[in-house]
Amino acid sequence: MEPDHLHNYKHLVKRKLAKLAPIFEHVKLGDFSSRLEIPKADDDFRPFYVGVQAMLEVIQKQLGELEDLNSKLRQKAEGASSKLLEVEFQNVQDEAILENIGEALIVTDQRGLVLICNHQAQEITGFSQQQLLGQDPALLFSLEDEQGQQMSPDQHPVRLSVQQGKKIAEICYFKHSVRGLFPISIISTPLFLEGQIMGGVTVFRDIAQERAVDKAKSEFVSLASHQLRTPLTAIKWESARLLEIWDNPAITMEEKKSCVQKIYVTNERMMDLVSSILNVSKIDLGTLAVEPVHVHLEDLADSVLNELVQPIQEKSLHVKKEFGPLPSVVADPQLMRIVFQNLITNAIKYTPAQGTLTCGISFGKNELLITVSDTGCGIPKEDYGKMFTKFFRSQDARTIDPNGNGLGMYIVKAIVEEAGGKIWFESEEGKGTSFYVTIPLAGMKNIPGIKGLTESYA
Amino acid sequence: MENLTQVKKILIVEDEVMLLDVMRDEFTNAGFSVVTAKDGNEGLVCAKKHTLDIMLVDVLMPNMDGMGMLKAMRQDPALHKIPAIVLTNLNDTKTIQSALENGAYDYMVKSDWNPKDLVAHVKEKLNLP
Repeated sequence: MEPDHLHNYKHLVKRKLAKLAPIFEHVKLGDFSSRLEIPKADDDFRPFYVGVQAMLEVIQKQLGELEDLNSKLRQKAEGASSKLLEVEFQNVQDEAILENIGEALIVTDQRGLVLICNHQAQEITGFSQQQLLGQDPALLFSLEDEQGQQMSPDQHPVRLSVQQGKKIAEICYFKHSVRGLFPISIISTPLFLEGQIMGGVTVFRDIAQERAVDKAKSEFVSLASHQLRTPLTAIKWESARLLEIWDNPAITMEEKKSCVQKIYVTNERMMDLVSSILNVSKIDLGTLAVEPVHVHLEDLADSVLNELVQPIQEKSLHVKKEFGPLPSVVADPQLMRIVFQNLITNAIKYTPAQGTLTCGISFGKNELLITVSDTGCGIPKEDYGKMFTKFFRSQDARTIDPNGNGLGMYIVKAIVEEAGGKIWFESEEGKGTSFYVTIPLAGMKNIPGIKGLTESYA
Repeated sequence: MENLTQVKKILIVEDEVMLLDVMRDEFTNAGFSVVTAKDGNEGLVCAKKHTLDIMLVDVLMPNMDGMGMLKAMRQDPALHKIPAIVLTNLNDTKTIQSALENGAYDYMVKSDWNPKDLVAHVKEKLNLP
């Protein structure tokens, strides 16, 4: 048996250590914040308790410092990676801007050598990136000024802007090894850093298309204004004459009335011309709206033939309609009406009395074929190439109908092509003409535009 | 006085029927003998066939235009002395210059004139009262 005091001491130790158990439970979970109840000064266990307490405090303090450090480090790391992302994003953005700016761009260094070039620059110049980088554009690119004079390297905008320290904007001609000469618009700007020229940025673009459009536009405007001036002159002259003869009793009422009649007809013709010119400008500028729906072309053809029943009867023309069983197509009914109006009106105009006009629509492979045939004067062979040209009128057409404006077939062709179809004709002088139009069953695509076309019997 | 008794012959080359009609009537009423043509080719044929005092020539016409007709006339000794007035609605300097270079005697812009003044102007050119 063990002596009592030993037994008691054992119990004491057990009790003292048991007090520590919950604290160690906390420690096990990583919590060092628990504090011990320190025994009184005479307690044998006091130094042990103090020691454990001190250990807990030290660990907790150091753990706190470690956590601080850790969170600081984490913050730093996060900051660094977001910076990195930012830089990367900036790079991607720069590249996207460079490649998508739609213009060719070249950056040169202090010596005038290419540092950066985008793919448009490569496309326009015909030089690869490898061929461009590190080269002097003033030596590499052969330019001509607007007068056709070869530009020396010193006259080259890229070099000139860096030499003179100012922006140089010019239109000149680029000599491409394959394409030959074409006009470009070029702007070179020097790059300054703390007052020093560090290089230059040159932006240029191919303006061949713009030039062609501009030229076509101004030609059209001058032609259109001339075309308008003719009926205006006729109205002026006719009304001047009417004013002159108005009070003259020797001149019959019939003659005076005929003046008014001519003024009226010419004015009608001019209104038609104005709508046609507006239509052509919408087509040429690409602002024409196309609003396709399911339509039966035979219904449209029928309604146009009905509208034109008066001129058909006046000439006693035989009208043959040849419409097979037809599916509907997806097409803009207003535009298709204009096609029928022009083709049928022309057929009526250029067919002599008692002639025959045939309007047929048949169902072919994936498309509808429209045929408008007449037994009229036919088209001279030499005019075949000009049939769809703006303002073109054949000699016979002028003689038969001096009031036509020569825009109708141009408009028809534009509409048919918009529908993805084709137009052509067969003709024999003195015998007649057949116009053929195909409209794919898939039909027209919806194109939001400014407005549709105005109907006119051009 | 002798000019008054002598009927002057004018050739009008114009493809616009309505304008041609007005001019024909106006010049006929003013005592002219009027010959008309609808393009340059017809105009040349008429110029050779008739003894003309003066002609009015449009520029934009089918087949042979006014400039073509002027050029052809200049090379024909029988025709190059007939005064030809270019009468058109084109009023750009290039066309005017080209007309004068091709030997046009005068250049008139249609829409600037009315038929009566047009006749008066032609009379003036022919020293008619």
